[in-house]
Amino acid sequence: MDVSKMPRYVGPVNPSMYPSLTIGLCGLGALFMAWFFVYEVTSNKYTRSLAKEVVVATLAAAFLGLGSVFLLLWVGIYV
Amino acid sequence: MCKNIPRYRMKVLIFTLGLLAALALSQDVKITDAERTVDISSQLAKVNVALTVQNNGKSALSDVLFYITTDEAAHLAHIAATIKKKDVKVQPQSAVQGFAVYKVVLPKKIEAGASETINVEYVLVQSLVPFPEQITQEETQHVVYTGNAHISSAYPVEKEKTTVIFGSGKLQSFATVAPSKQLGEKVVYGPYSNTAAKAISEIRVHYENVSPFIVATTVERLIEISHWGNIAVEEKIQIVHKGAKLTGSFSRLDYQIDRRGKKQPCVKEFKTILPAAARDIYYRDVIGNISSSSLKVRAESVEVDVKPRFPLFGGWKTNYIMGYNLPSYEYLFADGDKFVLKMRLLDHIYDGMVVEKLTTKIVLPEKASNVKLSTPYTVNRRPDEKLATYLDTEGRKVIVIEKNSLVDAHIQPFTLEYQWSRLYIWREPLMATGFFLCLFLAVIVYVRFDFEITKDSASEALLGVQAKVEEVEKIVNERIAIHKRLIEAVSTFKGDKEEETLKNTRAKIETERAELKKKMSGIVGQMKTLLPAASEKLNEMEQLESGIVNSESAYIEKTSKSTTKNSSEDRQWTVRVNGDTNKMKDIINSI
Repeated sequence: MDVSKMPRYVGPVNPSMYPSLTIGLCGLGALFMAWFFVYEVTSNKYTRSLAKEVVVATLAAAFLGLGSVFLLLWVGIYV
Repeated sequence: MCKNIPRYRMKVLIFTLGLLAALALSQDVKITDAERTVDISSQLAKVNVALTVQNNGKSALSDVLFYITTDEAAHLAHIAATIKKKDVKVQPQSAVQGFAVYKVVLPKKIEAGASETINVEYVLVQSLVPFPEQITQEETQHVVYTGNAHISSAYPVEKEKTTVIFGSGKLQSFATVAPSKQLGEKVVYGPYSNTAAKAISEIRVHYENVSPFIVATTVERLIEISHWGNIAVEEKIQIVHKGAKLTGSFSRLDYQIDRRGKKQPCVKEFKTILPAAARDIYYRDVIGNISSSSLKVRAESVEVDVKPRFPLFGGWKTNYIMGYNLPSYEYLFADGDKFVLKMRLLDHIYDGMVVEKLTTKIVLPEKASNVKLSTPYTVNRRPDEKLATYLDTEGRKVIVIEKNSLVDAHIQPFTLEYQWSRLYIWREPLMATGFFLCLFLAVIVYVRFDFEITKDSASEALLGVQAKVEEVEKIVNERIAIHKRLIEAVSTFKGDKEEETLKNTRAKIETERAELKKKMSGIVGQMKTLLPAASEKLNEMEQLESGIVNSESAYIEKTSKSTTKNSSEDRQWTVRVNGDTNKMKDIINSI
């Protein structure tokens, strides 16, 4: 196997994008998280709807999860 | 059985004959000219031997034996051979009395009667012995080189000459093996003629050597691959000054005013050359960052001027950690799910370096499989280890390689092949997402617990009413939206006179209203038991709404005949609707 003929491996995301991705995704995630928690504390057992809670929680988790991975990459913890 | 014994003896006989033939053959090989230079101006002894081998035998010669005395072999770090500047293979053989044996495999056989020049290079480490063994801060270091005046040869040598280059220091003494003489910075032994094979006459050269005698006793090189596009390298290095040991006290003042410069018997700094793509470079030890170093970025490399926390005198040692990041495209190659890492097994630490023990660890990404390692020279591969770091579940596979006694010539690349599915890149974001989702689900479950000790029916009822009022508010908002839609539909009708569209819109609104009304009547019914007063107010609201709906048809009849948009009827109607809806909102707020 000739290594020199193989294509070079580049990561899936350009490192210069890490800061903006981190801030963007974590920001959106924080927004959804805030919405989720505000909803949890303002609604009572007659008004709260499970579907809404789960949808907002999933959105918040997805954005925060992806955002925190990019935060790790940005600060130099190459996971 | 009886037949087998003679056959076995026959084999022995053939083997013995073959051995004798080989020995006889070696008698026919002669070295017509041999020139050797021994460079001992640094802490290494770099030996270069140029042999002209002549084949006087009857058959072609496929390999040449090369001898190194056992004293030298104990310090041997590297051996290589070239013919006409092209590398040829050197294989170690079993030793003979007093000598280690290496076989130089010739790419082209030396035909009978022909000759060939072979260049053999080897490096000895820690073979120069400081003498005196201990010196004070003011003295300079002297060392003794012990060697052989003759070239250790498997074959008789017709003519030979050895040059020992000891550098710019002062020569104290040297053993004479006539003819031998000093020529500037060299001592020349020979030329000698017609030396027998395996000849030894010991020589000693005692001279001043001020070059740094620092040895990296342990180097732990950690290479961590991240498929996000990074290769992290970290080297844990211990450096010991193995020259003449410092005796007496160390005076900082004497050290500061010492004007000898490089002749001082200590190492103040050295230069480490890193790959050009290196970034985020750090140089630290257990205390923290060592700020005395400096960095120079050159076109083809990055140079770090490593200045330890203190000067290294003989016998002193220092530990430090040097690390940096490299982009993956420099060293990692990929073809589908197959990846190949091509990197240096050992990298530069300082010029003329000596590494006693190297441990290279390669941390593969999680789930990497089918690992195949190929190294430029023989190494000791240790059992694989596991390393669990950030966002790992089962730990990453670590390939461990060990090798003792290395020099500059060992800075060569290895290749490591492995399989890794590109879908695994999603593992880490999914893990982080899963963590947050679990947190939120826990909150969702937690808010559903009831921690009240006593049941407070009043506040319970209030919560129920609140929930109903919110629902009513929603219905009212929807109704307001419907009113607006109707007014708009009428206004459009005035322009295009499409009766069909207006009819359709009204029919749709009708069904929506019926649904809302049903919901509302349900709420009113529940409200009667919860809070009768509120239920009455809701009834009042319902009357307002039906009032609007009932007079709606009359309004449409009247206004649809005209074509002027925003006529006085329209305005009156809007005012009425707005007034009534505001009343409804007031009712909700009052509840």
